[in-house]
Amino acid sequence: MNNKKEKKGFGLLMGWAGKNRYYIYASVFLALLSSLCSIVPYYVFYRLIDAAASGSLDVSYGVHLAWILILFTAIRVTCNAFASLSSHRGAYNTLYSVRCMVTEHMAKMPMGALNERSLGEIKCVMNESVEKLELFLAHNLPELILYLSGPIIMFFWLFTVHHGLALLSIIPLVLVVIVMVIMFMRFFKFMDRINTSASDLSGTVSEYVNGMRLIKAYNMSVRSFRKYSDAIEGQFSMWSDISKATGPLYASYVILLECGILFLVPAGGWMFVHGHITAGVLLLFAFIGTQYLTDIRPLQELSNNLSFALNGVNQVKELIDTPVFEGGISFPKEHNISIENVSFSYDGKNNVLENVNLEIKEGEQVAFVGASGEGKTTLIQLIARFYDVSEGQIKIGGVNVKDIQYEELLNNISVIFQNAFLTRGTIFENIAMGKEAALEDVRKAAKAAQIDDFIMSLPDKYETKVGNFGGRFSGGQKQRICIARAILKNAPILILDEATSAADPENQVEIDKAIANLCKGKTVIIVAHRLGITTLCNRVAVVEKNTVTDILPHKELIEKNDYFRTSWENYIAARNIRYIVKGGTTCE
Amino acid sequence: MNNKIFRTDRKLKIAIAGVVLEGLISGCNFLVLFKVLELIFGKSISFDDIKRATIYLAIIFGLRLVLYTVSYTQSQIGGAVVSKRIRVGLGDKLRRIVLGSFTKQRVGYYINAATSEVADFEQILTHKLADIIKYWVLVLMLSCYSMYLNKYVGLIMFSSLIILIPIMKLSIVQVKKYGTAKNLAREENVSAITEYITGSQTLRSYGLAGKKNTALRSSMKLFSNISYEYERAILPIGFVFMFLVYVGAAASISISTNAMNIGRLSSPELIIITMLSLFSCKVEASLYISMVAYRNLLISKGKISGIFKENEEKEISGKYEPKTFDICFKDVSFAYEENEPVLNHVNFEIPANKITAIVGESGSGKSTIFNLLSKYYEPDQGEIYIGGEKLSSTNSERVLSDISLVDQDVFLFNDTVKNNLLFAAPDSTDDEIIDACKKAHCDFIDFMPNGIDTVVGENGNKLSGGERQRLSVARAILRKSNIVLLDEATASLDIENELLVKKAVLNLLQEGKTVVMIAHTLPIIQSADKILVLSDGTIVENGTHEQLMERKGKYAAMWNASLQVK
Repeated sequence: MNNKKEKKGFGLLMGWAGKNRYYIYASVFLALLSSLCSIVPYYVFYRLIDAAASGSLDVSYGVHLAWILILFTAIRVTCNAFASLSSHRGAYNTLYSVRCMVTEHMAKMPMGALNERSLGEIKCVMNESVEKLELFLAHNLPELILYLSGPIIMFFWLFTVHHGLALLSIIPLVLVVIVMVIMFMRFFKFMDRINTSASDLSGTVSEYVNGMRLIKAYNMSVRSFRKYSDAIEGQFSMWSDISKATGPLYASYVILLECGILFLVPAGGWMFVHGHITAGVLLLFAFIGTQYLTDIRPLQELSNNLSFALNGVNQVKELIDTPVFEGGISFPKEHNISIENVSFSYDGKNNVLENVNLEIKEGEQVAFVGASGEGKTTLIQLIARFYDVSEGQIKIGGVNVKDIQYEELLNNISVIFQNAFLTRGTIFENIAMGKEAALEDVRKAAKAAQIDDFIMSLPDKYETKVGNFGGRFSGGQKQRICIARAILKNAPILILDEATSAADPENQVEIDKAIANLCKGKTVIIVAHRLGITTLCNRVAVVEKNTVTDILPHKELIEKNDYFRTSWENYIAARNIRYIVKGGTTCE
Repeated sequence: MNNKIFRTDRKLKIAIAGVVLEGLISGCNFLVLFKVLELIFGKSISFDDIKRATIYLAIIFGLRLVLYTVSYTQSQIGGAVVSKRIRVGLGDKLRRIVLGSFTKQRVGYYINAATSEVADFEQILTHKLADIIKYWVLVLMLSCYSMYLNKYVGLIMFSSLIILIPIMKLSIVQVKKYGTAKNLAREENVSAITEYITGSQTLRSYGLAGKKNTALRSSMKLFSNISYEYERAILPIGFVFMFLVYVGAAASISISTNAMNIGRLSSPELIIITMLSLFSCKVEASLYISMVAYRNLLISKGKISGIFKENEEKEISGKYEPKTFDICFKDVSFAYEENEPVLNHVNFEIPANKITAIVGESGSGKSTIFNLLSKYYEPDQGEIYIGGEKLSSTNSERVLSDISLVDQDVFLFNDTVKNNLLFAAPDSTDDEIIDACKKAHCDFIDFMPNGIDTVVGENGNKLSGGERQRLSVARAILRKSNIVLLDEATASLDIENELLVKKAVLNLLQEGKTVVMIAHTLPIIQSADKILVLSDGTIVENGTHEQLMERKGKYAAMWNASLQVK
């Protein structure tokens, strides 16, 4: 692991490829072989002129040369084809192992690292960055070898034919490098404009499309369309400017690559006239010496792709370098939770929680209340060790959660997440979740979650595929399937974000029953949004001013805690509002 | 319409012609070299001849440099003109497409088409089209010249150009055949990965992460294998073509040595003809690569032209001038997908200037009624009336001009708070705006850096859900439209925001309008003037709360159940 970390870029990628790197190496080798064969047509040509100039060219020699050309083209094409196939095989296999590696790493990361924002980034890495590696391994790498080695091999061959002329033949390189440098310098001046214009365009297009319904409703279509066209006009004028600044340079680059003819013909001609070289050599350089450099033309585009690929490697590396939780003892038998002097900060500067102290007994049901952003969610996440506390400690059954094996900890705490997540598999699979469970047990859990009747009413019952049907489940139905799953899991500690039940107010009654069944006999922490639920809990904890200020039974808390009293009043008021036209009233 | 959008205009055509011409001029190098050859074999060459040849070559080179520089730059600009035209055309098309098409999934597709697909299209158009024509013409010219020297060699060269047509056809067939499977596997793979990542927390807590998730692994493996099979089916085609082209060149070599030996070809001619054969092999290799890129261009083009073919809203300008704002659904049926009816012969009336609530289980079709009223979709059967006027006799813009929609999907423009409100009601004064904000409990504006002139960010991303909802209520208050469609969706808000949004709505209702409301909880509509109970796509009950309770039907059952909710 340690010496791997020192590797960078290509070496790192080959490390990830594992055995598949041999496919890549084979492809590079075959590409080189193919490059070597690519000089054969020129060799044949050279031999032909030589023979013609010396008058020794007969039919059998011509046929002989033709066969050489066919034979080596066959080798060249075959090598090239196998290089491509091998590079693709290696690339796709590597993509697969990189993806496996990332998911494997995700399985060890702290749960907190899998929050919405970083999941977006991981998604991007798994789909886009990894795809970039395919482009690099399967195309760019063998192409790089071909485009680069072909001219180099040619140069060496020409060099053996004639030193001076061979050196003259690379003069164009010097010129094109100068042109390229100027071109890149000009292009970089546009970088800021490119970035702002691109984000301006995508922002405007996105607003135009997303807001179309409102645009129509407000009769703004002419005005919005103008804004849209303006953004496009901006994009257009920028690219026109870039074309004007860099287009001539790129065009000269392409043509200048062929300027060797202007040196080689007079120099070679002079040598020939003075008898220093044969006609064959002169013609070889006049024809080939002016052509072979054009093979490097695509290298200019390749350089962009290479930096893209390197970027992809770095993004993957960054992801798999995030720390993981490892080791620890098994989950304790007792399930009382104690939070001792806990402080926590996401960024190491501002504390979200400060000096929190709380004791929850085994089998107790506690509700957390507080305004949004005060740290309720953070606190429950610390208990399930989504993150590690900055100070103090959290203990379950007297054992610090940091000392419990992570896998076991997650197995023994059920967290009902805000978004009901269902896989695309069958309903049965969604409830069993990898457990070897009998249909009976699954149904028993579903019954307790008030969802069995609904499932049985579906054409394929428990075998209904969620993927095909998911869109038709209401939020509440999805939620109850998730609750059935948690009932089957039967973890002793339950953490429940009650916002979940808001998904489907029409089904509130069933969800409430399902939750009640889930909570039976467990140690429960509920983050309450609907304050009504607090009356059902043993105690209610108020999270405010970055700490827990009070923890008391509902009635006593209303007496003692100002925040809770106001919230409770607001809650009752909101629930009693009735809408009428022309003057509504607030009852009670 | 479609072809017009994609056409290359005159300037671009001239630029492309310039690039092609440059290619042809480059062919003149061979004429000069041929002259030199003849002199060499005539044993009469002097350095003056070489000097003269060099001058010709320099002239050719200079011409090419100028011509290519100008044409290439112009073709780049011409390409930018084409993308501009396609994008503007797409924008114009998008505002005609029926509003029902603007669903969450579809919207991403449109945005992608107008941005990156157009960029891809242009890239290949400007880079490849000129190259393809240039190479074709160049090889064609070379074969004509060879034909003049030796008809067999000319024919071989020409046929290697012709053979490219079936080769390209074959590759298109293969791409279609294997590409479909590859795209399916790709989509499957992306959704498997998305599913895994989205649900990673849940999967983790059920021990289904990493290696243990065999479903994900096999999906990734399958994609990997199918991608490889795709390449294996496509790649060899190009190599076979290359091989055939070189076999042609080899044949030309033996044919021309034979011709030379029987005295039908001079030595310089033999050399130049071999040179041309080998050179055209190289050009054809480039041609093949450009054609493959061009083939991929058709994919982007297909996506863009698909949008141009989408259904447009009919241009209707019948009589539609409602004086009152009562609403009537007569025998309305509607389905998003065939054979899955959402509304089934629905009949009901909504009185003007009263509040009417629609209740029913989720999925019973409540929001479909809003979609039809807003003319996002047209009913499959039946007719909807506002104030006795048919909705089908006008366009959605006209219908929407009388309607304000307040729901949880609030769209905000990337502009100031003030402008976002002004868009809803352009004639409002500053006082009216401030008053509407007060009524809508938008007190958060006071804490914004520039108050009402603060920019809200792309789609209002600097505001919270509750704040956005209150702003949308302020819009509705300012707009004073005759009909308010209200989707009570406060359940996901925290307690403070829920109360504020509800109070804001109460103020909106003060104004006396026709209000239609989708209710998710029952207490809030206890005092509504009329309640419609929707079940399985039909109205099963209607009346006031008291009347419905007396019936002891579905509504009464729902009400009793709701009393159990803590």
